[in-house]
Amino acid sequence: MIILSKKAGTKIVMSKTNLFKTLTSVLVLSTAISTSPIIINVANSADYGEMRNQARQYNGDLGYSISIDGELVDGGQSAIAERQSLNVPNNNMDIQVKFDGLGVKPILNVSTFETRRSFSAGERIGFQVSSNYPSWISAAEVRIYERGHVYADQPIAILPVNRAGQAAWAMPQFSGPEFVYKVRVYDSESRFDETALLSIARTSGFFQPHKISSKIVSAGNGEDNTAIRNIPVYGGAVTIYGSAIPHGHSVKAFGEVLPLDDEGNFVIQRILPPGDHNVHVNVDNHQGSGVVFDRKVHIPQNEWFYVGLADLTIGKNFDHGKVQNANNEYDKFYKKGRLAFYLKGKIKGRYLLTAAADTREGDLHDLFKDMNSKDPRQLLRRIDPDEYYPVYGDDSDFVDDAPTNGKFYVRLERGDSHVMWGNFKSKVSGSKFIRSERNLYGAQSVYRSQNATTRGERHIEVELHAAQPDTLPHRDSLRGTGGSAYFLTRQDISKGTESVNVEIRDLVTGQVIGRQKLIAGTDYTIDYIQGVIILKKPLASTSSDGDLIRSSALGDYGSYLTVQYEYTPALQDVDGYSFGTRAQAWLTDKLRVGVSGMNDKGASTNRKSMGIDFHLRAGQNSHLNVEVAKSKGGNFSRSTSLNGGLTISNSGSSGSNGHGKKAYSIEGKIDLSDMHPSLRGHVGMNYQRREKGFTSLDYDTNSAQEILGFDGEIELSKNTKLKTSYEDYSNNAGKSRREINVEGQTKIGHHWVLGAGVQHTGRKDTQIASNNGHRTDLGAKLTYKVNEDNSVYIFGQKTVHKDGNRNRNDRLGLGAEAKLTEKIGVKGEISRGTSGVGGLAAVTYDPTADDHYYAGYTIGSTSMEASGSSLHGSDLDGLVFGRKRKYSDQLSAYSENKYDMFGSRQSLTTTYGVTYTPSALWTINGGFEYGEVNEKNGEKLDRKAVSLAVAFVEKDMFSWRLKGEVRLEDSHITSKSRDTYLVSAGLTDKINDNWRIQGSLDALISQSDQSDILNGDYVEGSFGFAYRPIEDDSFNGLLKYAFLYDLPGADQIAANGSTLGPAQRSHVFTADGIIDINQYFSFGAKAAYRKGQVSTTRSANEFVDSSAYLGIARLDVHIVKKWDALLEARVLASPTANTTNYGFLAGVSRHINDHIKVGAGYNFGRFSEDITDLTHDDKGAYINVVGKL
Amino acid sequence: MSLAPIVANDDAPPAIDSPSGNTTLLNILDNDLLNGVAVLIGDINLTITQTAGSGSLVPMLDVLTGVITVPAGTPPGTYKIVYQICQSLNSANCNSAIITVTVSPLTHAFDCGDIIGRVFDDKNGNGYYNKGERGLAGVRVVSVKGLLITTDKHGRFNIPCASIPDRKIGSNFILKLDPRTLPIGYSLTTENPRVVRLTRGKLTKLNFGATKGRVIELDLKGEAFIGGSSRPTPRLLASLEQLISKLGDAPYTLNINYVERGEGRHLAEMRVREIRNLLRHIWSYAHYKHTLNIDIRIVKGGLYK
Repeated sequence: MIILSKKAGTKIVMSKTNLFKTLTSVLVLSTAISTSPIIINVANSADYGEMRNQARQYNGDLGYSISIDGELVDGGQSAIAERQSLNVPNNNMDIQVKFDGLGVKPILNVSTFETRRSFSAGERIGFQVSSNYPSWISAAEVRIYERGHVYADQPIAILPVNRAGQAAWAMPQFSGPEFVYKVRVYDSESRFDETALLSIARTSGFFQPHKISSKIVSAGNGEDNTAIRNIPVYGGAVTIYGSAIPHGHSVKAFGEVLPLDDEGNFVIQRILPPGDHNVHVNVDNHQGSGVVFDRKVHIPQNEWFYVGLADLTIGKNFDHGKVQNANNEYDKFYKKGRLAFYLKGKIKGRYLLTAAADTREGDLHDLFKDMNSKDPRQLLRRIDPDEYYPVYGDDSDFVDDAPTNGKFYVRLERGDSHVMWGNFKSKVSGSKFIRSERNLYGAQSVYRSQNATTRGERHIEVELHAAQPDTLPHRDSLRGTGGSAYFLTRQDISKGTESVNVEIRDLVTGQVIGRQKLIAGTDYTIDYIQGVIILKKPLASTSSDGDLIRSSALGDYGSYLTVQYEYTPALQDVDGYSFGTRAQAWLTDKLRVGVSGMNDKGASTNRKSMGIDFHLRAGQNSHLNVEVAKSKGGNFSRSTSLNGGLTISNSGSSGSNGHGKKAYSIEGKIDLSDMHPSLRGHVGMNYQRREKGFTSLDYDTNSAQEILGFDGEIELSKNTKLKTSYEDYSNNAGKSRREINVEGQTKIGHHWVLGAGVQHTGRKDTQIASNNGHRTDLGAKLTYKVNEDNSVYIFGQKTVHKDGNRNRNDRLGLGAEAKLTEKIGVKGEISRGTSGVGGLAAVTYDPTADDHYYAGYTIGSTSMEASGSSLHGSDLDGLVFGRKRKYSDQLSAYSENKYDMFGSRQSLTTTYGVTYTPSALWTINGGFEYGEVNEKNGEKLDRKAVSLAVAFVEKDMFSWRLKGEVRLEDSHITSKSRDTYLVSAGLTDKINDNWRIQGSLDALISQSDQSDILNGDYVEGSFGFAYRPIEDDSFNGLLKYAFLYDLPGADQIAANGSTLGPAQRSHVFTADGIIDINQYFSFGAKAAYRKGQVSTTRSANEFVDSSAYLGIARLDVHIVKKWDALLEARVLASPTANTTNYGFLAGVSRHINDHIKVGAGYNFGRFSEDITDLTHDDKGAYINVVGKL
Repeated sequence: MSLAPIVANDDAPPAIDSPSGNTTLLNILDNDLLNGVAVLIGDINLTITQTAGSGSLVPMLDVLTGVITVPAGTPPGTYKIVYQICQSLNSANCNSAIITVTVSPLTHAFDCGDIIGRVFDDKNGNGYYNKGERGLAGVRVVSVKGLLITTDKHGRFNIPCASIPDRKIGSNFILKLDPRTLPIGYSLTTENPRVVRLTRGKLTKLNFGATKGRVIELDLKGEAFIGGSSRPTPRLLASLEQLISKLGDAPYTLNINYVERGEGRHLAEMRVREIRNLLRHIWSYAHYKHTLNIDIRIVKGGLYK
């Protein structure tokens, strides 16, 4: 019998039968309770007083204690006393569990245990695989490829990964010494995901492991490095985050022992299918004793998140001035409003719906006008993100989940298929001739079937898009300069519309040999307003074709930076549409058929193209591609530049409005090992014919042309290889080239490699006299490998026969390659010959999993080679016995996340501040080139260019980077002769968790030796400071100073359509802060100053000033769920325009409930102009109702 | 007859921002004189001798009224229009003037409303970030435009140029915290969604507080159960019923702490789960709107002593 309270008051006897029903369903009640009245005191429910005393006084052991906020309220002392007597680790320890069905992001990564790159022969290398979706993974393997090998496509080792995510491999004695690895994980239906490649190498020397910021806990864990994703992962993400786990304890969850970082923090995420899941977390000490946390998590099939706003303002202006405004700003009465929502939902576990609409603030009558049309008035899009504070003092991360130029966005997706309306990136790829990548606004539909071929290609893929662009595309093809800063043809380009690639092209035929996509933030930064792009790594002008005999001092292939972007034309409305489609299907596991089509119609253009392509696969690595395409109409506007955009040539108006023009391509390769396993090598052929006027994104055919080529490569023995190639190119403009190349290479003993070859070329060119006639060259190269890490070589070539006007092609040179540290190597070469002196050097940097901040494309090294898209023959890499022709569109690309200025990727570990993989302290890259650079149109220049960049990162506390470049160019086209300098520097210091500073400077100065008018300068500097304390909120402040000086490149086209734009300078200073006076009141103040100067001419510095000041003081009152009020005074003055504008605003609003807030306000302003002594007052009042969901 | 003097004066209306609606600036005839008095549109002929440029997004002069309009979306820049007025009665009596219209570019420093904020563990539940409270990492806040922002390790976040507020009275900005990204057991102490009024060019703070609620510790050991079973003693059962009815409908986190002293891990877990299920049933029977968050900890005693 238990009487809980004897106190007088309202006692109720709970309806025992009801309660009984409830309880019996869970447990069989003892007879004692079924006969006892349960009396509960509700009159004094807040007061446990007497009971508390009872509990304290009770001496027997009830076996339980109930306490609220640390105070015992029921039961006895003994249970809590027992727990408290134990040294249980739960004082500061905090374990948070969360689940999120809408933010599911699969993570996959692999790293070596130690984030090292160099291992000695026979050394055991451990690999650690991590992912957040093991429920979907049925098998995993680490694949290792030999770099620079004839068969780089085939893994030399496939290592099984055990349950703990580990695999091991012994560094081989002989093959290599350069390897790359990735992890591939399979689901139960044999679909697979893969990571991007990382490199390892054998070393014979001993290198100190590179410096890292702290101890390695679990390399690569919690970070994503996925390159190919096929496995459909759905459900919800359960994240467990723990902090302050006491020393000597281990944490176990999801059946795994979790790694703890230095500070006792951990984070783990698992994507789990919909349904109920029990999440256990065990925190144990060494003796196996400890604490168990147990949480039940339900991942629903259907889940919704939404936010909505209905905002109505009715106001009156008491003073009706002379100035009128259709925005109703000056109407006596006005009614304006805004309706907006964002919604994300999961339906049936697998479908994801995203929708957003925003009428924007405007007159009530206009709210629903033009819902489906794009909105050119989007003010927000006009603000350049470069103008933001450089640093806001936190590490938060954001994604724009509903980007749209219009008033609404909708997207329904399942896996990686979707239908949508909004902003999208069109992707027509897979065809050699017809390709599209534009940022458009309109409708897009992408279907990718769930099932895949044995190679992981989806059976069916369809993309369809339709858009009404309000911008025009432009494409710049900028030849590498040996430097990293490039002017684009246009200024004021549309933000976020760029697609940036590095392309390797044949200098004679213009064929694209390889292409790599660059990623914003990681590989480059761009200034949209000034039209300047700065790469993180310099781009050399030339790339080797892998042949022993070279046709010029620097190499045979050209490297190009191609940048495609959208711009708003100054003088015309874009009145057109854009359609595109690509559909491909694997009819069998061996045969793929694809069709592509595009139609872009503008006010005066109508461009159509379509094509069909077949891909037949045989054996492991043999294939045949056949493609036919047809185009009609002109091409997009396109420009080329040999000197980094400082002088620009426009091209690309070929094309025909009459009959469609055709292009054909046949390309095949037979891997000899497919014919007989003992054979090693391949033979290939390619044929291409394009009619005059055939145009596409990559092709602009000014005269009909035909290319026929064969190539072969065979390994005669383990030490001897032979390769040969033949190519015949001719066009209707009287240009042709025929080239036959045969060469062999053999290893002699352990240290020597000898190569020899012969090349015969026949050329005809009506434009360039020296390109007429025949020539036969002999060449040889002898390499001495001192050890795995260092080698030197000497090479020579001599013309043994020539006729016509051909120049001799004699050359003698030497080169060396050395490894400086674990990750950093240098390569250099110098040669002299009849086509001049040539010199190239490069600092090579090979990243490992700890290179969070590593940035830069890789040509001819890591990621390209084994991913099926060999950009073989890296700069200088005469040692590489590469293939002549190989091109595939399957390029690996990272998903584009938010990157900081060092290109660091956002990851689970950064969000929670857990350090599993310390960062590498130093990164370095650079290059040097010296020699003559040619274009196929006969343009050439002599260039000396040097670039060196160093970056230092200490954990995420302190980092800096510095880059310097000098480029001296001399050309027969005088406007192209110039000296160019670049300095780029950045600094971030997180002084502590509360405040940080960031500064950066990019200065590009290019001076023509002809005329000042041809100069081009770009200097941008900024400094920012942020104080965002973590302990309290009493003061937060941001500060920024920015400087810009821009003298556009002479040929750069400004927003108004003109070239030879004037120089301009600006200084902006702004500081803003908020002080909390107490819990309810906060005071904010802002000061901003801007001085803009525009020069009247390009050459003389005759600047015209305009300046403005802004000062704001604002007082806020916030009483949670009750009141909001604000009082603000501001002054905006422009001394140059002699105007001053004062404003005052008072507003108050009351929260009626969670969804409605009503407010009213009063504003007063005075505008005065000094010259005419005109003053103008205006006053107004408004009522505002807000509905929110 | 002497010629009535006609005077066209230059006009330079104050710079305006690129307008979001067609904006009428002024009537250029207001400062023009015929015979010493303001001209009347009926007495003169107005012609444009030089337009501001081609295309539709440039300032326009209406020759029928003399009004200048800047179309919505006109890009920033300085535009010049040259006009001529001639006396209707004497078409040779003319004068010209230049209108200069300046559309100033929007800049972050002068026009944007920035947001900084934080999501914090509001231990005392007052909705304000007090000393001693902590930020909550990895929480998602969402704007009505579909911007998904994830807080950093200390719960902080920022939205650069969240909006361009109205010049005079500011504009409302809404942000909603996605409660599913809070650690389990947390509920908000501040309004959600939250609407603040941004003003032009000013930084505004927008914080969200969330709390586990009051924490109830339920400490258990074997004596609270009948024999070697997982059934609670009647006294414990009654205490739990009473506890929940006394708590009332509010957010709470109830930690069940079980000290296991040799009865075995399995039994300990059974007992604890039994109590958890029991509490859930009592809670649901009370028809409370808030959910009761139950945490389980099993402490293996003995070795900690």
